[in-house]
Order: sequence, then C-alpha cells, then structure tokens
Amino acid sequence: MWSSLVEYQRPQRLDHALRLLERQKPRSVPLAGGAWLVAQRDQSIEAVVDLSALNLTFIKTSARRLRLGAMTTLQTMAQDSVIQNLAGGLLRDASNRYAPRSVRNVATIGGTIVVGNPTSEVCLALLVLDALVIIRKPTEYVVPLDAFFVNPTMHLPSSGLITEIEIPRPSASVGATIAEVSRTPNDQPIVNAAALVSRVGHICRTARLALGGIASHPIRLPDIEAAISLHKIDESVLTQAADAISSSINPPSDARTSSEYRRKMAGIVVARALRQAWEQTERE
Amino acid sequence: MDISLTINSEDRRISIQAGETLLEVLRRLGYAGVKHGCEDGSCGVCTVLLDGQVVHSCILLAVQVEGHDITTIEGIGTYDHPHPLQTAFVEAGAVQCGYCTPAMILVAKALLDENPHPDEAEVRETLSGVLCRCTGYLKPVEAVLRVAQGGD
Repeated sequence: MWSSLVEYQRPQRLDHALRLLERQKPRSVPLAGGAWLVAQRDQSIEAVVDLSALNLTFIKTSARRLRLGAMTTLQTMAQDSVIQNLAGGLLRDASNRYAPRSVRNVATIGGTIVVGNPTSEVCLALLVLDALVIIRKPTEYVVPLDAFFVNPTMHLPSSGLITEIEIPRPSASVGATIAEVSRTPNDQPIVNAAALVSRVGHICRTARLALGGIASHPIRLPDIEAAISLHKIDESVLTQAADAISSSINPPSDARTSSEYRRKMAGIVVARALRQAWEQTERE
Repeated sequence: MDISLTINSEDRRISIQAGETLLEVLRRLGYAGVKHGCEDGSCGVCTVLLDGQVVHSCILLAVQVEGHDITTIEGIGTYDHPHPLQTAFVEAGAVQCGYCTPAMILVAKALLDENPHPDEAEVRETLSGVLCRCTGYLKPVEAVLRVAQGGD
C-alpha cells in the first residue's frame, strides 16, 4: 500500500499532464512504468500522473537519427529490429541486461534515465551513443544525456516531462560493447563500462567511453576519449587508459565491495570494453 | 475509485484505493496464489500475466491495469484439470515449500506461449526472474523442459 497516495490521473494530452504536474498540492509526480517509483512508496508523494495515455510509446527512424518515445519499454527495445542493428546491437544488449523480463516489460527508457542508476547499462549505452534528452516544460528543451546527469533537477523541473530520447545514428562500421564485473552473473554490476569506437585504417578516429558504478550516475570520460582518439589502440594505450582512470576517481565503498576494488576495476572494465569494441572494428 | 478489468477471463468491476498495488487488490479479492514477497520487484513471487506478459504485481498500482486482462495461477488450471506445466512440476518434484511455484509456472507459461520450444538457457533465463530458496532450480528447469519437449 502506497498510503500517502490519494490521487491518480491518466491524462490524454501532454498540456493537461504538464498542468497537473505544476500543482504543489497535492504534490504530483509523473508515473511511467512504475518499476522504480511504485517500489519506493515515497510518502511525500500525494498524486501520480500516469503517462501511459500520452502516445509516448514509439520508435521512429530516419536516415540520420532514431527517436524513442519516453514510455518505450526496455523489452520493446530488446526486441526491436532497428535497435538490434544500431551500433552492433549495443542498446539491444544493454536493454536485455536489465533483468528480469517481468521488470523489462514495464520499465521505460524515460524512467530509466530519470532514475539514473549508477550501473544502468541502458544509460551507459545511451551515453556512448551521444543520446539527447527531449524535455517539455512546456516548451521543448533538448539536453545531451551526459549534461542531464550532471544536474537532472536543473534540466528537468518537477513540472517538466521527458517525452523523447533522440539517438544520432552512428556509422555502420563502429564497434561498441559493454563490459562489467559483478559478484555473480545475475547480480547487479559492481562497475561497468561501455565503449564505442570507429577507426580509419589502424587509427581510432573517435572513441566514446562511459563508466558506471563509481558515482551517483553513469559518467562519460572525455579526457580519456581525447587521449585515445587518433591513436592506434594497442595494449600500452589500454594500460595507460586504465591507469589514468583508476588514479583519477575516488569511488564509494558499500556492501558489495570496497572503494579500492572499484577504483582498480573501473580502469580494467573500461580497457576491456575498449579492447572488445576495437576488435569488432577489425572484423569489419 | 471503481475500475473495470478482466481477471482470469472474468469481467470484474472493483473498488480500489489510489495507493493499492495490484498484488494487494488481487489477494483481497481472494486470489491467494499471488504471493506477497519483497514488495519492490526483486523476488518475483507476486508475478501475474498482464495481457499475457509477465509483470510484478507489487510494483504496479491496481489502477494502472484498468481495462486490462490479468491472469493469475488460479486462471490457468484447477485441481481436477491442471495445466500441463502444473502436472510437470508435480511429476518432476519441482515443488518444495511452494511459495514461488505459482510465479514459476506463470513465467514458464508466458515463455512457452511466445516460444513453445525454448532451449535450456532460455528456460533458465526465464526462471531466474523468480527467486527460489529451496529447489536450486534444477527440477523446475527440468519440469519446464518436459513440457517444452512435448514429452511427459
């Protein structure tokens, strides 16, 4: 029982939803799939505005980009044929790692971004895909996902809504992968990383890296990306990158593991993801 | 508030409170096969089928499923006419304390409805969504594979 909840609304128009969310009394929040929100039973929340009737469940494709409605479920993403072919199936794989199926069936891409779990594979994949978050508040506002994560409440006021995620199509020849460590294969990751690279000849043209499990949200690694770009990726470059990451972070300890282990493994999982992504481009 | 929904092929009109979860409403209505576990979507024992798809009823508000179709374990077989999965679970010895068994059978049913002949890895992946502390999963996997392979 979510005992503080006294009101439920399921508006059919976005402007109506935004007006409902502006209210201070009863304190109102958006409800996407509910996989996270309902589980919290947050006693300060008095009303929910269900987004399921706003037609935000879609995957639209064009030559240059994909647009995913914020209410698209992770299971839909895991099964979609366009997403399957995007960056070697990176986002499909990331969606599938969010287990089990019973949660993928309700969890949405918009909700996943708002929660911003530190080890969310979907967020890691979206970060290296350079995803943009489309927000209505009520005017349309676009922010890159990495900037969104740095200050979510600034970009998304309580009366605003994420309506879409836009993904620029990477070139067909990129390599992209996720690497992670966890206590058991089914447990949540301790640290994880996503890498997306493209190459010209023997040189890495672009590298995009994201790291999870070391901060309150997944992060991009722009300094490491810049250091790698326009180099050949070999073992010495990978070792340097891993050392640079491990020496630049100060992750928390928790019940799963220590800060020291996270620091060491963060560099290693990034190097693993990068090596695997690079090897994929060699097979092209 | 009042909502209409279908439970086990029966059209129902029921009174609920805004904050009630689907799990709480189903149990209040007497569907005791839907078990109450972790309340945060981790353990899976509250699994039901929503329009044929597996969901955790503890992290859905009852009002969210207004107009939809819910199937619980009570809807797929009876004592006299058990579902093939229920028969297979009994015959394979896949039930110990029984608390997670309704959920195991429902996730297996959803899998077989979508993919009648899954391999063992797919069965294991599916059953991993339901936490079981007794069986070690070996016999439940065997039970689902018996049905998937059409044998007895």
